[in-house]
Amino acid sequence: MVFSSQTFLFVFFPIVLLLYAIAPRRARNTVLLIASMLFYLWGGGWFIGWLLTSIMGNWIFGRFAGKARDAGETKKLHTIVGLSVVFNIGILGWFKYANFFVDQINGIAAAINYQGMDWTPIMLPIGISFFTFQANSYVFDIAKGQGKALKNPLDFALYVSLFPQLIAGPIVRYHQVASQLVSRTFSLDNVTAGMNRFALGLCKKVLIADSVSPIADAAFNNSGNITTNDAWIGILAYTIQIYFDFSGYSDMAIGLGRIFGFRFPENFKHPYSSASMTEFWRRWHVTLSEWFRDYVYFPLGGSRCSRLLTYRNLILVFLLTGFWHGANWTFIVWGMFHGFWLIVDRLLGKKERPTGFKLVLNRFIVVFLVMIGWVVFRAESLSAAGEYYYALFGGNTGDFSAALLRLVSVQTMIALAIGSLIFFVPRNMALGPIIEESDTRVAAIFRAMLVLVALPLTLMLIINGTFSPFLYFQF
Amino acid sequence: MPTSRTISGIICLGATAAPLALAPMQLDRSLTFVREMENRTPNAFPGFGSIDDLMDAQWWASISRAFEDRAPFRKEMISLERMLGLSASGMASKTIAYGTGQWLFWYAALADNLGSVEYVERAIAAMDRFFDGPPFSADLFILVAPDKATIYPEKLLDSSRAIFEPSIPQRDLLHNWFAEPGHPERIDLWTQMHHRKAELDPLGELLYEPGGSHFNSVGAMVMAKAMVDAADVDDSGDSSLWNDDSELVEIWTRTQAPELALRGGEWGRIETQTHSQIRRAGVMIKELWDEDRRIAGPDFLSITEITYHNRKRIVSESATRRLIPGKTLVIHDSFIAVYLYPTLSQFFEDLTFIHVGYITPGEFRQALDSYDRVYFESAEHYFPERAIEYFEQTGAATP
Repeated sequence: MVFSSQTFLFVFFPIVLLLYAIAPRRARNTVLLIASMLFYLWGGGWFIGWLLTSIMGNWIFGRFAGKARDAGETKKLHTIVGLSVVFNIGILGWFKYANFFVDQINGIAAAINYQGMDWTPIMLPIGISFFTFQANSYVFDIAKGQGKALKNPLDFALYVSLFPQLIAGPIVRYHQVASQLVSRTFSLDNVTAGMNRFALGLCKKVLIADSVSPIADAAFNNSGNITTNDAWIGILAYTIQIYFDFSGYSDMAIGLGRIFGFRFPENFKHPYSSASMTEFWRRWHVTLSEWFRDYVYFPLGGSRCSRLLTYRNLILVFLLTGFWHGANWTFIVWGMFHGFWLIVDRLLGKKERPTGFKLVLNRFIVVFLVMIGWVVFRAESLSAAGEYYYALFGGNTGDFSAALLRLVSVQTMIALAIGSLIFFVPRNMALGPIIEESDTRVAAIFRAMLVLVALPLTLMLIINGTFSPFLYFQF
Repeated sequence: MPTSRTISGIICLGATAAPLALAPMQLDRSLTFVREMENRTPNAFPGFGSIDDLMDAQWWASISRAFEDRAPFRKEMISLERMLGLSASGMASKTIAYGTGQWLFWYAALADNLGSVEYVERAIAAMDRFFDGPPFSADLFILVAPDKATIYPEKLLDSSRAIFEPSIPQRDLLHNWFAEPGHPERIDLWTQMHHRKAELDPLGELLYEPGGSHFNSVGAMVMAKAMVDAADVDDSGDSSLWNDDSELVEIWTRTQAPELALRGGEWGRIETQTHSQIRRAGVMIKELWDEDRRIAGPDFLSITEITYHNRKRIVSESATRRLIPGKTLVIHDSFIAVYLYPTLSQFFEDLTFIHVGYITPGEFRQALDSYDRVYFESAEHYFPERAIEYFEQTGAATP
């Protein structure tokens, strides 16, 4: 189930909220846990078994890690943490990467005239990358003494499976919500603030991201035949789409969490306003960056080692970051691309954030590089990315193609124009928190626009999306 | 005093909770809208059979679809979106292109589906290779239902014509191939449609539905005659069967929003359509098969009630009328399915209909040795794709 579906908006969410509101305080976690399981079953079906396996496994590892830490048994603690990593990476590796590695092996075998492996492709459980990282952070945090192991497995199950962030994050680490799992406030203030934030995210996704996505899809699905103009409008559309889609989803998750009394960390902080690639990664998918920073980069030595080792650490972290996004060479190349530019940032040395024209220039360069990176991220394959780059840099001059122009309507143009504002907003203007709870006049104006214009339009588009007359001519 | 954030938060909450509260009162209205304006049966809530259902994502998805069809204010929201779409972009939806007056065209049929010139050349080459390839025992006939825009290009607005015109070279290629003399297996409907159009224009009659994407019953008869003639040519080059005392009977006349108007959400755009079929005196439907199930007591129109993708077989008999003998297979799409099942069954002794897409290229190849004649029909805009799928894969190996 996705947040922007009618089933979630008009049925699931209001019923869960009602049950949560009338449930006794001690039963509220149970209400949320049942709702979360139902939420996962709705889209995941049988894969819920793997979610439950992950929950049970990590809860047990957490219990052992807690005991080992309390007893000061460092070696045992390290062994438990290591086993939990093997357990989690094993699950993630099997479902997400086994197909990829078999493809590589079979490719090599074919190249040297050997028969490849017989293989039935494995289906990917929904949200596995998110819930696996979240569950493993629990064991890490227990081992680091940043939280106590939960005695009640149901509380831990709620932490891993909490439906607002189960499918697409933010990746909430255990120490960030440990106390809230046991005690939190359910109030009108939280509900209304959370609803504002949720509505903002919904509008960002439906009005902007979904409106520009056909242009991006048309360009990338036809990368071999697009003109340079098509390629640029396509990558602009995708740059806007991925930000508004992902940050919109995070807004919805943060808002839903707030409604039920949780405070989730921010996941996006105006990444396209960054003045360096390093800054970009402090603003883009923050919870993932921090997960890799705290659990991979720092344990490897971070930047507190020789320059060469720091570069190695950066490359390794971004290799993993890329691979985390998907089992395809495109994601690996994308990760390496970003790792490379972070090393360049380091080679250029730490500097104060520039001002004036230099700031504008730096922001332009960062957005340009990020867009260039999105090409390989979005492309189906490296060869498709190559075709796209060829078109992007003048390899196929010509006007916009008819197929792409057909998709350009007033709606998409408005969405592109509004979406493009994201490149110009001041970096400290955080619209999400403003809409959520600021009491300033500006916030009131934003909220009025949200509920009077954006939300009705959004609901209209959502309902319209299910309009599906039976038309025989399509067959 | 409540702050603006409290007020806006409550409005947002109300927007999500209100539909659930109002749904029972709006239920009939929503379901009627789905039946009448979406031209389909509303999705029902699935039954609960076993615990396995809970583990089946499809089972949950069917619950979602059932909820969606029962959402309150469905008609208002969809109409509003269409209205805004019209005022904003000049097109009711991305699938509809406007013509003059009440004429509507399907975007995909104007250009998208046809592909490039190279693509059409590839389809033609595939068919040429196919006929030069291994022999088969059946008489194979290929025919194309011309697109509405091909027969009535003057009904396109300039904006729609700009989309259509780039596809004209592809259409000409196809037409020229079909019109090539000396190939009785190629049924050239373009020429026949244009001739019939020239006869009807002075009378103010049409061959195609202005608000739909198909021909009307008059256009359908041009195709039916061409199919019968192809299998039953007499010395004068015409079919004696078609010219016997067949009677054109009116099946129904309805005034309703045509299908493209439905797709565009223009509920107010109304058109009167009359469906007619040919019934030949003395011809009886002896057997009617829906896949492997024999339908008891079939009549002239029973075949129209069988699900579109199911294989249908009609065995006819007549003591007084001649029927085209042997086993005939018609691989077809919506043009024949909507308009011509009963009519064609009146002319063939043993006729099987298979919807294109529900026969594999391999089965198609086998049918060419197990039937006496095979018709392969497709809409013009789909033809290159289907020709490649069926003829390239089953033809002689590419040299």
